[in-house]
Amino acid sequence: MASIRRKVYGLGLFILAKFTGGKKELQIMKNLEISRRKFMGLTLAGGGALATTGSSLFNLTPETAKESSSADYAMIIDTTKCVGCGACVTACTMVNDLPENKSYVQRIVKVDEGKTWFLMMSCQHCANPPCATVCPTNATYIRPDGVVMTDRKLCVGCKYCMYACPYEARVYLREEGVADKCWLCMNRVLQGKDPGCVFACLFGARIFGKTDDPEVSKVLASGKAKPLYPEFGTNPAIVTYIIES
Amino acid sequence: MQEEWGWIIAIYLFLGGLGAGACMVAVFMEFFRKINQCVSSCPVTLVGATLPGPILAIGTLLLIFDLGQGLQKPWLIINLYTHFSSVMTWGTWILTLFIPISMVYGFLEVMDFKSEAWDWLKSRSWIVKMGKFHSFLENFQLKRTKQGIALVSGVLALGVALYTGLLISIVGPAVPFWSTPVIPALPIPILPLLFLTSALSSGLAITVDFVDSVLNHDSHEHMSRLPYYHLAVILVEGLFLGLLLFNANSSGGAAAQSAEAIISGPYSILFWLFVVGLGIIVPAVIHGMQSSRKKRLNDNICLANAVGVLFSSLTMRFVIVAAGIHAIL
Amino acid sequence: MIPKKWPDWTISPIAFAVIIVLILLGSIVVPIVSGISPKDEPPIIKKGMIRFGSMKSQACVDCHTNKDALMDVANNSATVDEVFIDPVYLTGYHAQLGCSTCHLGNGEAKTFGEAHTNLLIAPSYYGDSRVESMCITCHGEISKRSINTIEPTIHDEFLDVRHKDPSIDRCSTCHGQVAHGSDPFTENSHITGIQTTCHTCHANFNDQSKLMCQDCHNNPHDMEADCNDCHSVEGWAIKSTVE
Repeated sequence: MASIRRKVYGLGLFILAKFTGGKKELQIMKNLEISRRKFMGLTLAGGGALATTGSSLFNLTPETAKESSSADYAMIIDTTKCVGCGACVTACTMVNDLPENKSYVQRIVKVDEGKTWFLMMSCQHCANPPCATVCPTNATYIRPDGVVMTDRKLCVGCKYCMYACPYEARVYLREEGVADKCWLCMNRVLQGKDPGCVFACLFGARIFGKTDDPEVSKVLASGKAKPLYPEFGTNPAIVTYIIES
Repeated sequence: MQEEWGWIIAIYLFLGGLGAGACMVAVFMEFFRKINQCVSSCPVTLVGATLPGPILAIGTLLLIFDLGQGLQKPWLIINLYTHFSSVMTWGTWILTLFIPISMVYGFLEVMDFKSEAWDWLKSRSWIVKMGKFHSFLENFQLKRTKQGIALVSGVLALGVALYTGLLISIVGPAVPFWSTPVIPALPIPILPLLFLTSALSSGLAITVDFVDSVLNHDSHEHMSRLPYYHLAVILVEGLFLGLLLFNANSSGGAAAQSAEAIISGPYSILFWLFVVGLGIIVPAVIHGMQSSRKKRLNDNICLANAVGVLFSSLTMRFVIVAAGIHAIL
Repeated sequence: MIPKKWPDWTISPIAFAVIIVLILLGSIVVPIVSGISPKDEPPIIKKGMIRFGSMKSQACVDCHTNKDALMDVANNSATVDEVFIDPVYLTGYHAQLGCSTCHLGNGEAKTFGEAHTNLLIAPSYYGDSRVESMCITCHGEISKRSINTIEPTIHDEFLDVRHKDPSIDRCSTCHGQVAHGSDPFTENSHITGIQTTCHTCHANFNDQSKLMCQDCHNNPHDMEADCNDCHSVEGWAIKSTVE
């Protein structure tokens, strides 16, 4: 402990000495037997450690919803009913006026032991959204009701969020220069309609509603709907999947 | 999944690392060289002080060109300074501080290097007319102030070198290759450290190696252990590079795919020829020889070596960015 | 190395120039060596995207359910009979998706030429590469889905062989015209399909009217649907209205 104090004191003196050219300070410093090389090493090591542990600190204070599991909405995707027709993919493109080859919904074909099933992937509306944490302009943010929203007016198109999202939910729109994603068609929801993908599904594989809705809460209470890839650590709060295991 | 960050980002990372490294070398030489050599100043510190400012300005310009809506509506860029949970905001602040400060350092270094220029400036008629300012300049402690600003510049340069690695390694589970840890148990990512050593290596190349081979100058007179330091930096860089690939390969999944793409996949020629060959093996041999023989090799060899190290640094940034594969869904 | 008369301070701009040259050089060399090309937009996804709603096929329906309109274009009653579709057959599940969903073309066009641009006359045709059949769009990797790999019965193996049989080049050979015009109890094409497959072994089944779906199909589409949901007259009634 004492040696660390000496080193810090010596550091301060050293800086002072360099500024004022005072011989006295240099003498004191020499007496403390701190070599210049140790100082340099200390600075480098200290700076490096500070920056890298700073990164872990910041991971502890990312954007979070007020209470992690109190999202107001729920979207349940039943993969046992999904036939992979992709109507939801097209509906999303049409409802959101996206270019024809882009959609906020991704159709992923999975084959497990000869059985094929379809994983329709879009924004999971996490309670700890990494996209909101890394967005430098705060264009992506989490609303109190748990929906993760993107403000297109603030987005500068740096594409950091696209690398931060483990579910690859974000889509870069080249013409507008923004990175957007599923926003649960909030404009339709507020008018009492369903999001485009839910509306388009002819096979009843998508269920959407407020968490206090009787149909929704029945499915949620049965415990069959689970968040996807919880090991990513982002706490998907709104979107859950029913997957036969 | 669209992979969006490409060549422009690789160039920016290279320029950032180079500028930061050159500045750190200049600051190091400024404080730790034997003062009785090199009359008042030294071309090594001259290059290291004047280069980072313009280089990073160009790099930042490239960054802005990579934006989407931010390029169409430049006034949105001010918002980049606001969101402190994002490493990109930290970087914006660090760059905004570093570029002007290093330009001031560069200016003072030029004035110190060429005292005729300083005298010329002080004798300008429009300055002489401003009485108080003129006497301020006459009494200005050029060297001391320069060293103070150099220190600040050096600390910011360290920040620049580290933040670029931090930015891409913090995405955690999304791109597992970039967040590969130093030791699997600890959560410290290896990429910031790799970028730091690479920055130092390229900084040393453009300052010490380049200056020594082009001018009639020998940095060994300033610091006899310089070749050892240079060798150490190169070997540590090689170590971190090897650790990165080894740990990525053993974690499986997307990280292993990325490592495979680099070692034996589409980027393998770039990696083995330029990154490892030109950047680690050749410089290690050359600096090893210089350390053991205690004298410099042929000027042309040293110049080629310096250019090779720079090119390898550029290629390394590109390979790491391009091989960042998303976690498998 | 630099000309002797150049002063020392020129080393700085020279270093700067060297870096710029390196970057330009790298921009040429690196892409060539790593074989990358300029970023292409992802290809337009045809598989997995259905044109949403039968509203987009109204032009097709208006013409093909109207014998007079068809006669105006075809001038030949044999042709008209071939392409005429009785509206009752458009009430089924598949027809609900819209004509252009499977037949492509342009269901909102105003002229014959426009409507029939890029038309797929036989959407279930796949030739020997299975991916071209429009049925696969929804019915996925069907050759994998129909196999119970844990304990394959002889039916599973047969279905596997049938689905991979190189002499069969379209799904409708066995599955009939499920989209429109397929009443499985009277329409020949479906029964013909059964004849070419099941009757190969089950030659006793001569009385076709007694061949019920569930005699061969045991939940064929993994959709947890009863056959009658689709293949009965009641089942054809529209189950959901597209808003």
